[in-house]
Amino acid sequence: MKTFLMLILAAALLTPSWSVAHPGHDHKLMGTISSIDKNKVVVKTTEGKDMTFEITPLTTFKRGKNKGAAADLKAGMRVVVNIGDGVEPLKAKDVQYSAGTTTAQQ
Amino acid sequence: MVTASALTIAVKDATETWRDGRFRWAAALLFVLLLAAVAGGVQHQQQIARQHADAQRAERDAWLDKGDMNPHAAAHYGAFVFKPVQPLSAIDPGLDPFLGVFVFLEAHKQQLARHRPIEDASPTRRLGLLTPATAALVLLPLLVVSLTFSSFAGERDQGTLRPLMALGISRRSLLIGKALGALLPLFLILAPATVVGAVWLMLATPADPGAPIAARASGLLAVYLVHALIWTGLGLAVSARARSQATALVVLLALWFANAFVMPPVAMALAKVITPAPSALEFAAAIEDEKDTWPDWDQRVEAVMQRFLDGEFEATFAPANVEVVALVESEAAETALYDRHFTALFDTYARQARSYERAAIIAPTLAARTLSMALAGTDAAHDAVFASAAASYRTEMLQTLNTELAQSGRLNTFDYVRGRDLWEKVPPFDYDAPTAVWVLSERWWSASALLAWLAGVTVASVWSVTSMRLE
Repeated sequence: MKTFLMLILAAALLTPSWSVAHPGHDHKLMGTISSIDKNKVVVKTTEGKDMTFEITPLTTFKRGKNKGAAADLKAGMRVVVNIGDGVEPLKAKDVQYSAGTTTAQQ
Repeated sequence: MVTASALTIAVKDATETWRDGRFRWAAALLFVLLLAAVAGGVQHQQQIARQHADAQRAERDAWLDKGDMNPHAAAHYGAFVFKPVQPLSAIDPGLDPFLGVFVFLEAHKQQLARHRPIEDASPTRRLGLLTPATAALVLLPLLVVSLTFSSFAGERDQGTLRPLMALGISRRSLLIGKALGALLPLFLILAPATVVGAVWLMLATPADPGAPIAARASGLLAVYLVHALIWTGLGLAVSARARSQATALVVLLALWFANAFVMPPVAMALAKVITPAPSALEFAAAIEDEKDTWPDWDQRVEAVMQRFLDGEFEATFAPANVEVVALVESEAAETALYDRHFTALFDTYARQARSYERAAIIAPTLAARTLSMALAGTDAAHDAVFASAAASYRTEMLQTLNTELAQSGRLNTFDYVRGRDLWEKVPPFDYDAPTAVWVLSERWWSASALLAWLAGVTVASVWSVTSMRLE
């Protein structure tokens, strides 16, 4: 019996850790821009929540596969925002949006 | 219809058999072996059942008490589920010693059952143990052969067959009398052994006291009875046609040896040739090869982002976190992949089992063995049902944990931590073996073959006796 339980314990300890399966901790949120006020952008997420992130001088922009710019961002546009570790206040590391879309297809 | 003359012959033969010291020794030995086999089976079953129950309880406690962690980390922490010991495995352990007893359930991977009891077995146990099923399907036919080979051939050798017929006894009455004469002494051994064995099994508390085993147990008894009747018919038919009782004995022993020891491995080898199954390594490699063609984690995340930017997830209230969507989707894809491979593997095993069953056309003991294991719940089909139940439980467990993660509304999804209240939402693994009706629907071919053999040997013995020569 002890051998049996030891076997199970050993198997549990040998289980690969979760962190190996999911490397990296940059988090990306999906949403549609509700409003833009200077460097503060409010995004309505796919869950229906409003979240605000800040555009910093280090924020990069990607329009499709090409380089984009902060000026491209408009209300109604779908974006995917890399918010790093996700700790508030949220700061955007990079913002992605579709090459062919300037406003949401609504 | 049993005539008075048939009864007279039966009583005479049974009395002579019973007075034979050699038979009494053989009968006593079989009786002791049967009871020893039941005792050994019950003791072993109790031990294994207790180990499984203790381990399952310890595993459940470990699951609930593992502390606070991320729901997906909990999925990687995993859980063990144990195959419940079937109550009738004390009668026929079947393939249980050769099949894994527990499955480790975890995220991203579906495992085969591990730890085959035979791996821990002592060298003597590896040689095979006497089980009640072995006694009923191997030793009992040998005793039947010893009781029937001289039924007609012996009378003919001693020159008493013609005088017996001259008394006006019909050949049909003679056949019935000889059959009853052989079965009566057997009944005197088997009836008490069966009753004592059944009481012993019930008093020892079956592995799962609540399991409805009456239909399965009745089925087992019927299989062993029909099998013994088939051998009685075979013995009488061969005895009626053989030139001498020595010839009858040799023929019947050859048939017995072929049924008990030659046909099972030959039929299995043929089944494996007809339907090859992958080795464990090949099976795992096929899954890994397919997974290697899949996009890696970053590509998956990128694809989810692109689909969103292209207009997907419209009003679906999908989690805002891209990685969670990628995680849930990859988990679903992996579950589908494993389901497909495991279904194909168990389909292969099922086809092998069907090929094995077909060999019962020339060996009735194969049909009886197949039915015995199936009714005891220890064959490959039951293992497949358990594996399927474990896979469903794994899917349910992952859905509970991943749904919690997806609905957390957290951006730091992977830093999201939950505790015992969530672990309790994953219910304990509960497995119920299929019903006896399911067993018959799965093994209808063997059941039909066994009944066809009974009908066939009945016709053959009638024909052999009606056409036998008297000198």
